[in-house]
Amino acid sequence: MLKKTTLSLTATVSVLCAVLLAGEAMAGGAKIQKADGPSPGKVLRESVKKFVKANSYRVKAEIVGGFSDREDHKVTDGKVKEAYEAEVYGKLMHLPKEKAFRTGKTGAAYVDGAWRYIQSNLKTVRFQRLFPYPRVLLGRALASSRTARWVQHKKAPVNLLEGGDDGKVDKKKSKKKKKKKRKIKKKKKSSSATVVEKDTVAKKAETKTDPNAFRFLRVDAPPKEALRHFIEVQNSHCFGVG
Amino acid sequence: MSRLDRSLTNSYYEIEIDPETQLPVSINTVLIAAIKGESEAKGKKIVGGRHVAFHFKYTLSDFGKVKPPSVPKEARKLLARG
Repeated sequence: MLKKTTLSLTATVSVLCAVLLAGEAMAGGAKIQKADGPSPGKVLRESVKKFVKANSYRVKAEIVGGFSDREDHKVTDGKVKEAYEAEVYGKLMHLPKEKAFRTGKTGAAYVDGAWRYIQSNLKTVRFQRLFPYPRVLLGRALASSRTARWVQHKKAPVNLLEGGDDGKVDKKKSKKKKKKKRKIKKKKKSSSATVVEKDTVAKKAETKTDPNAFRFLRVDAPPKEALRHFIEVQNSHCFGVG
Repeated sequence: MSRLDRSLTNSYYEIEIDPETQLPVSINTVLIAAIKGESEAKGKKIVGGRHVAFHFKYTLSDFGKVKPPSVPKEARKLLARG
């Protein structure tokens, strides 16, 4: 009797263990699937480390701001459009076009025939506030690295303003685009289902083998950080003083 | 800008990292703020309606190749004082 009960007990315990192990293995499998590709946070940390070590670089900045009524936040009513080019060597930033030097919080600019503090002129204050050092932006992104995730590679260059330079949508262009889209839709409908299936399989294979699949990282900043950055932008007086 | 809703601001960074050099080659920062009574939001995220948007697109290159710039004396004085 005792032998029978011990045997049945050991059997149930072993079954339970097997179930638990299987469950863990499944969970582990899901984790492996989730962690497909390099860890975005780790890659960001390594990248920032290498960036800091590089010590010198060239930077081109394009800043576009205004109002948007779109979900993708593209500017539809442009108010600010600035472009800067600079060389950075250690903490020193040189903006040749603006005839200015910056060292983080302070700077000097050649205005009206004399070297002056960067904060003494509205124009120079604008780029001091509107154009933060890349290391500052990377530092902020790094602080929120836990939200980092891989995003799809964008093939087309990003047009920051909707409809071109002045922020107004070119109606002719948009009409042409719509026509093209309609044509593509019609073509898609006429093609057979097997072709569509093949396309999706090919796309999946492409993302698996694409070396650029892990090239773009997105980091979401907390609202406090966003507000701090927004106050900096407002203090640049780019929307006008007051 | 007095109608800005400062309690509803979002921002995110899109960073392009060169897989070969592991260096960041572009940083695209998007900064958005809601306008009272005009923006649409889901929780703390602005999803549409009229809102303020700023895009900062940085392109980085020539890592380690830039030589130290020559700073004029007067500018150097100002930089040292600041």
